Amino acid sequence: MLAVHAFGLYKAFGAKVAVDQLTLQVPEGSFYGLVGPNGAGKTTTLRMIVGLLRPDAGTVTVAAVPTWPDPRRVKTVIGVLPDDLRLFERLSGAELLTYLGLMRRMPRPEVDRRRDELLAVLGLSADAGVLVADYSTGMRKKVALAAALLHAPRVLFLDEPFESVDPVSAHTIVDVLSAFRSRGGTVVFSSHVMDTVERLCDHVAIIAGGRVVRAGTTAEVAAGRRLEEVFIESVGGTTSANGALDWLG
Amino acid sequence: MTGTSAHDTDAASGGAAGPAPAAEPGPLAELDGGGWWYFFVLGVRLRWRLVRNRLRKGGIVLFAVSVAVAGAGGLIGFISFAAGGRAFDDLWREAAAVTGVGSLLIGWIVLPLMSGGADETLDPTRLALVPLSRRQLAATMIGGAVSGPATLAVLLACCGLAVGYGRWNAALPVAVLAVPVTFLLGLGVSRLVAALLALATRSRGGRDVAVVIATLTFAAVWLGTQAIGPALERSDRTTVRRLIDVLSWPPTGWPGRALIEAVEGRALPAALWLAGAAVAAGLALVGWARVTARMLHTSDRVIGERAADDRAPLAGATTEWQAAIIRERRYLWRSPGRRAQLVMTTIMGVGFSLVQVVRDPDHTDPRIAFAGLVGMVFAIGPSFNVVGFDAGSLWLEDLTGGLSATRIRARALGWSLHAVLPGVLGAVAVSAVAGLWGDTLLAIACIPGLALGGLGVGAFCSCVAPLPTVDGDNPFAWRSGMTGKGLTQALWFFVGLVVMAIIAVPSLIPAIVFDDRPWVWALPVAGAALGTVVFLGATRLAARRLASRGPDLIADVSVRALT
Repeated sequence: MLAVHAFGLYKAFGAKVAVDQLTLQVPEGSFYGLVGPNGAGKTTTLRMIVGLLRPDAGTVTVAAVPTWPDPRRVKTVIGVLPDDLRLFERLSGAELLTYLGLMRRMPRPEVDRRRDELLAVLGLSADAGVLVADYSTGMRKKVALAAALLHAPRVLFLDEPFESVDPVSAHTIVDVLSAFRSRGGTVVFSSHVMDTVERLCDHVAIIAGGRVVRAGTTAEVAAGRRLEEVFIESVGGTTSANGALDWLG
Repeated sequence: MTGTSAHDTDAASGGAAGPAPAAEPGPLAELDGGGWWYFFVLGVRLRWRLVRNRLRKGGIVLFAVSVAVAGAGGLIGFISFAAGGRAFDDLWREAAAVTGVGSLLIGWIVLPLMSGGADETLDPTRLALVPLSRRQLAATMIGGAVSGPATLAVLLACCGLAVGYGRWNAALPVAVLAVPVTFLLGLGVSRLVAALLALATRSRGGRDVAVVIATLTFAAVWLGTQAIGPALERSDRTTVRRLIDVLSWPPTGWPGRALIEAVEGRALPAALWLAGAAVAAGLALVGWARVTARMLHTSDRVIGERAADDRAPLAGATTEWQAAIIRERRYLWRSPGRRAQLVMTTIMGVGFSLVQVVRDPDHTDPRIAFAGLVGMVFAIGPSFNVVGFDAGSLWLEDLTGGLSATRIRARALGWSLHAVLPGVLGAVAVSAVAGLWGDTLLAIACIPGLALGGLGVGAFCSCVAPLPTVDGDNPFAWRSGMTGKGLTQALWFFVGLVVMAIIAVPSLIPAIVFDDRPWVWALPVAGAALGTVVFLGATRLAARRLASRGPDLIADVSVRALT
């Protein structure tokens, strides 16, 4: 059973092709890492999968629900932690979660219960009344993760969830994600931190130039080497500092 | 500890830490079902909660001023409509109905765009991840849109229509119904225009076209409204009648036509005009909903890749001064915000100059060319925030030596085109419309001195009261936030204008008074010298003020301060 099945996804912005006939299969219950260099098309791919960006071509299903042409149904089964984190800045963390729960037409008592529990688990209870505008980067990530989990989604999409997050907050986020997965949920996240991906993910796809260049279980893709080495080899990275920068120091 | 809690949470209880995955999603019909009022109320509650939280953040003075201004505006509108509808002169009554309602609605459409956009309740992208139907999203957005202080002030003004134009005849219901119809028409059209512009600004070409169209529309409407007052004063009934006829044809004039018919007791035509306005309001609201829903499935990123610049990096720059000035020049063309501001200030500046001619078309004095310079008042505004613009990058300046006088001068001169262009074009436009070219060159020659003085004063004011402004891609987006600093900056802008006027007196006034003497051509030169002295002195003072205060400045204008 696939949690996510994207087939032939294509998206161009003018002359620039961001995602080129990309096909991706994410097994249900997996912890799936999307890795790639900057500009590889990870964020564009995720946005098309979760219904935030209409693809020029291709199909996507999440938990057997087609994302397009009408992405509303799929939004009931997914939670998303986007990269740009546009939140209602002048709501407090607690107000933000309450508002989003009510927008999803959840019963108020259930919203209150889940909100308080999420804030407690994510270590935000003491700051529940603080405006989101005054949150640190880590706190913003955590409250956005709480918003993504509030309606108990089946698949969670996270775009660079650990970027600019301190180790304590990262540890909390990992704990919550592990708990989510242990209850049958699927986690898909993008990152370019290979160590994190290697440590957390059981499946991984390497994206470069808008295409999947390697995919499979993490062990298959790494093939006994470090994932970072495979990644650099796959995307054609080079080391160019040999002999240069001799004026430093 | 938190991790332990997460693992200990009982999945069956629906615990949030690792919540049990949801059941199968419901069919679309279930997602679409009912709830219009529910979402409307949520939108209203969100808006007022955001207002309340703004007060919590210490914005009570700003809020009080906003409410007072909105309340006063609403009251003036109410009284104007109530009195206009009771005027003895038919022409005045019709002018109040058609041009009054038209101006109110057009102002509602254009002013939010010109003043920096709308607040976050009207930004649908924040709800992009919630599974809402178009109807539900529209209900939420309408709830947010109808419940702000400014919107309520418009509603108050509209109520004046029923008081002024209601008569005890068959058309009384029309006068009463005109209130909600006018209100909804304004709401629908203003939001539709804003949404269309937001959609247009997602492409680079569309963004520039949108800026030009929005500014030209506003300038044209503004010139029209400026012309009607003097025409009424001159009892030029033919001109007023022509203007009423023109302004009553677009849908924004239909409620006014309905009211005129209602006053005369012609129920059927009144009802038909009002029905037309109601249909237009409905279409605008539906259009807004459709455009808004479409925005959820596109992306800010569709602006796409910028063309690579193959020129050598900052070619020709070998010193700090050259690097700073070339950076400003690059920014002028690459920053959408600055390009948009150049277009807006130029069009509005020229429009402001033309008002001087439009209000009194019978000019014979060649000194009318100097009226073109008043456009510079509009244009000089952005130079009063040279420090706050793109303030997020100030830390780089601080780390590389701080905002020295050299850098402040470069920043100020980066806005010189904004200051000079509207003045030059304004003088030419005024001369062309009046057909009087005698003093055009003299007026233009005075501009450099005025501009230099203005840029210097503006640079100093910007160092005293910088307003953090994001250099974003969308010229219609909320760029400076509700920080309360805008009010302080506006006060400094006013002070700066007074100082500029004082500086202008020695060169400009003699030039206007003695325009036929040969020695008058020495005045622009003297003005330029004075402007240069003021520019150098003001920027030196500004640099002194900022010396060793880089960290304070960075904290004061940081992007986080925007919220």
